[in-house]
Amino acid sequence: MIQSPVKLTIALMAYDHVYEIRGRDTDYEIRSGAVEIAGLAPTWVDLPAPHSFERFADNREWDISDVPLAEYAQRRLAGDTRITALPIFTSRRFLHDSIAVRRDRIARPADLRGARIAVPERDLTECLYVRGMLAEMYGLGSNDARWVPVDDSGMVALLKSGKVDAAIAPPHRLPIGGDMTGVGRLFPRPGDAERAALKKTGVFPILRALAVRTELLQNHRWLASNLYRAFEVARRRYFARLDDIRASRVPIPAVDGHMRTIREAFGGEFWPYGLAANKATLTAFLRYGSQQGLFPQNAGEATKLFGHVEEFVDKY
Amino acid sequence: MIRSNGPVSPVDGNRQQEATAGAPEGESRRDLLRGLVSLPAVAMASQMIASDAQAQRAAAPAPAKASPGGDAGKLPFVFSLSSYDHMAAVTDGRIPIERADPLFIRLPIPEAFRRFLATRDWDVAEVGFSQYASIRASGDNSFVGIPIFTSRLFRHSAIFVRSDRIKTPEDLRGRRIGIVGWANSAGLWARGMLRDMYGIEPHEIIWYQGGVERPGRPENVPAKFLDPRVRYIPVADRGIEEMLWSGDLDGIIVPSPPASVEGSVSSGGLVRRLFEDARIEERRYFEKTRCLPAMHTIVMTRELYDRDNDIGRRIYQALDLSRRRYFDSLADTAASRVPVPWAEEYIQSLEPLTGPDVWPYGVDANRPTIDTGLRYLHEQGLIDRRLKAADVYPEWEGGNL
Repeated sequence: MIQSPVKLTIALMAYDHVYEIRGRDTDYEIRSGAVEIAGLAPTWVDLPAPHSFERFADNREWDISDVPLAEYAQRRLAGDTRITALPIFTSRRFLHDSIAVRRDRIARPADLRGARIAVPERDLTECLYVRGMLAEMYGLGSNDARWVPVDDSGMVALLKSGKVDAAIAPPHRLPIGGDMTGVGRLFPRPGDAERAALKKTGVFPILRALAVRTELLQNHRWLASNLYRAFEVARRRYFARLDDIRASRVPIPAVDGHMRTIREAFGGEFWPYGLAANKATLTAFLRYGSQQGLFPQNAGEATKLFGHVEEFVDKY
Repeated sequence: MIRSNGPVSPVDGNRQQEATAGAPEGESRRDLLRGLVSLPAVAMASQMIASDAQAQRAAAPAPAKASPGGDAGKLPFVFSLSSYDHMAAVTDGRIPIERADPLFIRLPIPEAFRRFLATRDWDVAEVGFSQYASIRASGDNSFVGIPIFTSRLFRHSAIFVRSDRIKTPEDLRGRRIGIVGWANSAGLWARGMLRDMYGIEPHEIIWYQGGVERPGRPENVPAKFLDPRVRYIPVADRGIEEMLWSGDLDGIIVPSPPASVEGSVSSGGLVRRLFEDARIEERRYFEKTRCLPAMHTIVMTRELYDRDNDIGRRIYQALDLSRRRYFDSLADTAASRVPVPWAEEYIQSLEPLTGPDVWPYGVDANRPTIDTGLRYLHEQGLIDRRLKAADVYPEWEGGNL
């Protein structure tokens, strides 16, 4: 008699850098050559789903899921330790495309000084980084603008009526286009500004990290590091595909050249997992949160936010 | 003639996925999917699978001639395809091929290509573009091409040279260069590029053909119409990797470099890439030729086409939808489903050259690439006359794909 692998439920979006572990469809999750999470027999749940963070963090409907970093950190720093994030960073984006402005009033970042800026009631993570970036790059401190928390429809109305001058939200939720005449992006072509910010701050915003019900980490001491290992191997395999010159694995012409351009901008590895390699981003994240009143003044070190994992991954 | 039957919307697996997203049990969702579409099986190839497929084919009732839009039952066939993110939605069953019951098999390249062309053990296959075009151009109509290009690569990065002897493309003149086969797509496009961009004619280089690591790789597709000035020497008893290091060759053009060469390239050793940073030269080539070189394409057997002459269109539609799904997930700003920063900016930088579709399928959108590939085949003696896209994709003429 032997024990079966531990059955756990993992709720996750279809990330290409996780594909080697899960496949994309539950019918085919067991694929030859796929990466195994040692000791685990996972059932996968597809995200996005409405209120997935609350369903996980409050109701613990799943055992493992990726969580928005600011929402998670806010709870964790307030003493809620029911779930624990690991330094496995599923979603990262530069966010200069996340600022909408009324063009008649705001032409450049400096014009935001003294402006009224709508910020979403949720999607705290994106907003945290955008505000942090505006402070570091353009000196726009928390007291230099009026921040107006609103829901999505409120954001549309306020921007349209001119009661706010700008709005911050993930691009798919920004009220731009359609009948929103006179509203556009602060950075219509954000690449250069994003590279400048990266060079100055070293920050590549981490939006989501994998988290586990803390109780499970206590019951299975091996779980955190086994998860880390599997996700790290899947990540490496994914990026190796982009450099594969035997065949083009993605439909982006000359993608190897683009990857080279990215690595030049970052000075090497650009999507590492683990704490040490992400120190600049995580330190800035905590500082931004404290400055904006989301986190306590002395939020401390990033290590406090994450469960411990063995980051050494050898053969893959 | 493959006809387009107006807009087609295969049942979209993703939409159902979203409709039931978050269901804590996989079961209910699976049942739902099963109720709507029969998902094709995905499997790694094995002898067992191949014989299963044969049994399946034998057991299947003779498929009725499908009339587009009619309910003609599902056509079973076996389809070999490598691993591509732009095709994954079809090979893992999220996007079905309409009225089809495909078994997907994955075998290593180029073994799969060679085996399919030699044995026709299955029905639909990814093969080298130059292989298909040469066969078709020779008057052999036993394969019907589907104008989808699975793998496309500029081949500047496939040219490896001894840095003590070769520093610029012009230095290749009079040198000895190893290749795996004259008809190999990587070599074909690399030689065409050297001629188009630097005026280096194939007869100005001495070519050695053989296996890379192991000696004795035979020439698959002989160049029947080779310019007699081209010096072309098959090597049976040595590998071209070893010949490069021993100095009997000055360079090699290979689609997949051996470990010793890869190591030397990454550590700045003796053997390097001819173009150490190919980005600018690739862009120049792209601007001049409008080509996104087609390495691999998809073909079906004439037999399958005769059984259902609409199947090519349906395969095309499913793979095209899968390709568009990829670009949707690339553009998703809610989360980084594809972890490539600045991808959108990069793709926009290509659009002046490609138009809004940077990875097009279909004959029309690929005419510069197909015509250039055919010109290279002619210039390099693999076909006897100058052909146009319509000559190798006649089944698609007059359609609106």
